[in-house]
Amino acid sequence: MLFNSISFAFFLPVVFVFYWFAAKNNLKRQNIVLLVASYFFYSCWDWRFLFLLVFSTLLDYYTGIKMSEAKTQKIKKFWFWLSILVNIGFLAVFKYYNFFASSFAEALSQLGINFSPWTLSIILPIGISFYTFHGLSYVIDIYKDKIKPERNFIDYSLFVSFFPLLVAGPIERATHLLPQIKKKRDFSYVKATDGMRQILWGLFKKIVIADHCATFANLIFNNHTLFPGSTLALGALFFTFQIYCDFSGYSDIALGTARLFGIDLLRNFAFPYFSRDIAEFWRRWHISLSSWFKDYLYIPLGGSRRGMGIAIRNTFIIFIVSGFWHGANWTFIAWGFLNAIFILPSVLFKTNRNHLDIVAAGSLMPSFKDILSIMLTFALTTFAWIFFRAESLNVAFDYISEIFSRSIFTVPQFPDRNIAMLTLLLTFIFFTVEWIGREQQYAIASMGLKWPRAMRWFAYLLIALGIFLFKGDEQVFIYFNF
Amino acid sequence: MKRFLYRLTFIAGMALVLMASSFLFTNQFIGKHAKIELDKSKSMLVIGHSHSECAFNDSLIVNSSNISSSAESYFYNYYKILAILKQNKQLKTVFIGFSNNQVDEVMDDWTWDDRHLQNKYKTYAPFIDLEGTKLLYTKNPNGLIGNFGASVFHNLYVIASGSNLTKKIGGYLSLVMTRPDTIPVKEQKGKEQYSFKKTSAVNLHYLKAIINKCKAENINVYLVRSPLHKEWKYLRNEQVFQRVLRKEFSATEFLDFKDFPLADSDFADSEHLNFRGARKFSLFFNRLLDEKMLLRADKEEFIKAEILKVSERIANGADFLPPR
Repeated sequence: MLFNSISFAFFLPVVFVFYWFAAKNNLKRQNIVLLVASYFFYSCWDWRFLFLLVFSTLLDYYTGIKMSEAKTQKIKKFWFWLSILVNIGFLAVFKYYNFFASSFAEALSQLGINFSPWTLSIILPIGISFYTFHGLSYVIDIYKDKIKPERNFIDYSLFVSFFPLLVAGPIERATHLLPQIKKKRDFSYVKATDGMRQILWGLFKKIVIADHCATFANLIFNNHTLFPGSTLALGALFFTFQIYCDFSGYSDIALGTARLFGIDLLRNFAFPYFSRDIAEFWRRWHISLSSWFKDYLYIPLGGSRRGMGIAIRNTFIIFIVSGFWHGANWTFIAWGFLNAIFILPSVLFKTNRNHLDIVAAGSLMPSFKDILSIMLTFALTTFAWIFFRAESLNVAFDYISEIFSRSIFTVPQFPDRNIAMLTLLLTFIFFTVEWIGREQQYAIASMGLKWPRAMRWFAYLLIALGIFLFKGDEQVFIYFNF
Repeated sequence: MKRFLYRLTFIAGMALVLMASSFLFTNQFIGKHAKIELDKSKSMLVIGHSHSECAFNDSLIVNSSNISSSAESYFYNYYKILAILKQNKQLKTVFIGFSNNQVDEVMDDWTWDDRHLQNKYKTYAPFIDLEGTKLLYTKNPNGLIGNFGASVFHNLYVIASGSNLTKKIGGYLSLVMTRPDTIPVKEQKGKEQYSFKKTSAVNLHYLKAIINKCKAENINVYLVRSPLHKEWKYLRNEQVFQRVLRKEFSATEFLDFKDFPLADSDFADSEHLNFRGARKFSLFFNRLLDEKMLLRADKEEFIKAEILKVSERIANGADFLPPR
């Protein structure tokens, strides 16, 4: 059930009505309604993997309690590592086994040894990378005595399976979400309208911008040998817009939906393409994942506190692991490695915390220096996205070498130039709105709040009509693949 | 809560009314005012999917217009021809591409799966009647509703460009690819994957509807199978294809050019002719029309004999067509 589907448009109001009317003023009933809705939502993808989700939930729930009851550190460690290994084991089997098997076989073939590994024909359970990380963060926080284990199974299950974040995040923390789950929610008009506004904006990003850009990105990447460098450069640009609008659009819908139920989720995107350096980009892109890796991998490895060498090592580790988290392909590892290279100067010169403020805060136009920084950062991230999108390293290298050939100076070719121009125009308008709204949680968070009601509603209708008219060819959310 | 629900319902209601009225209005407008004006001097029409689209070069076939379109099932062909026949009374003959995959259930996907709806619905929405809309809604409600907006946008685009649909509904497609070395490899994979399961009743229903409509307008109608490579996977259902032809379309003449002799290099892939193959076939077809093929009672034997002559000429190193 996609967020932008008709079925979700029916599902959400039904859950809303049950939640606020049938479960009114009763915390337990509220949580049960959300949990049942979440399991139903997940089973619409593939009911078989519901068992995996429930098993993972049970495992972490049980090991969390066992850790807190452990009389010795040894027993505590046992339960901790059991949970970690089983969770990572699921990821290893479902997501990475075939990659390792075929990579191993290829390595052996380079040595002249022919080996046909046994591969698994299994589907990747949707959302596994996300709910596994929910469970891992919970278990790690208990182990470190940051939180107490949750003894209410329904509450804990809801923390893992809450449907807005179940299939593509944001990756929540027990310290942030569990307290909200354990407290009765009262309806807030402001929160609900804000949630609807964020859902509307998320739908616009996904349906209009992302899906239109996807049409051209897919066409160009899938047929890259047929196009000149200028078209390939545009293809990379289209993908850069696609992945941002697709993923941040999904996150907006997730956050907005949660707010309808009185729950605040962690912000996942903070206008990353307006970043002035790569370090700032990674503070603004997929925030829940990068902060997860920072808290649970980078800092435990020593962070930047044990000398420059260790800091550089840890930087490369988290970016490569982050790349690998996205998928079982060398291209994702290359993407992660490239980002580590890009961020290296700021680590070396300790400038990675230079831009903690919002660019050109309080004014409409950035400075010339900011414009240059933004453009450079944008160019570097677009370059790295080529690896992310390409099917293989060879394709990525071919793609890049064609961009940096003489054919970059030719006129770009498109089978449907008018739609391509329209897409670029819509994207330009979109980023203008994003720029104007960059100091808020999402671009239209306070749009029209001071206008007369009729004008504000007219603006919402215009966005809705825009979604209706300019709907792109439907694409699955990119991050569902992870 | 009440305030939220009232306001949300009001805005959602307004949005739905705006969307529905834009959909209905633009469809009505296009349905009434769209121009599909073919060359008035041409009285023959070719319609079908990509096989006929790539095989019939209408610049080489005198007196003909090709309005075939890729990935188009008879459902869309039907509504297209309804619109065309209204505005093109000069048409006297219609050739309907009829190939092995068109009896297969895969045509159901071509009619109502998401990908084909995205491609086709926006063009034909103004012409699809209630029965057709009901069919699409029954089979893929999400897909249909999801394409209403795209059809409005397309309608507005068409209106803005003068409501002329003539060039948007199909035409001869010249393919430059040649993949002779991939045909056996591709179809080896195809052979492992394809096996006939059932026919597409819907597709055949709409083929009958096209034929009946043409006959009602006193238009001569023929089913035509353009040349196919022997490795094409759907040829495996030849028995079923012939059975459907005999049982369902015995009253309609079938012109079979499946075995027209072409080299691998005349094919873009196992089912589509490239520009070279299309040239050869179209000149051949034109020659047969010149020789009054359509007036003969023994069309099937005539075509077979002419194809045999071509094969012999090629085997003897001569040009595939004798000079006039």
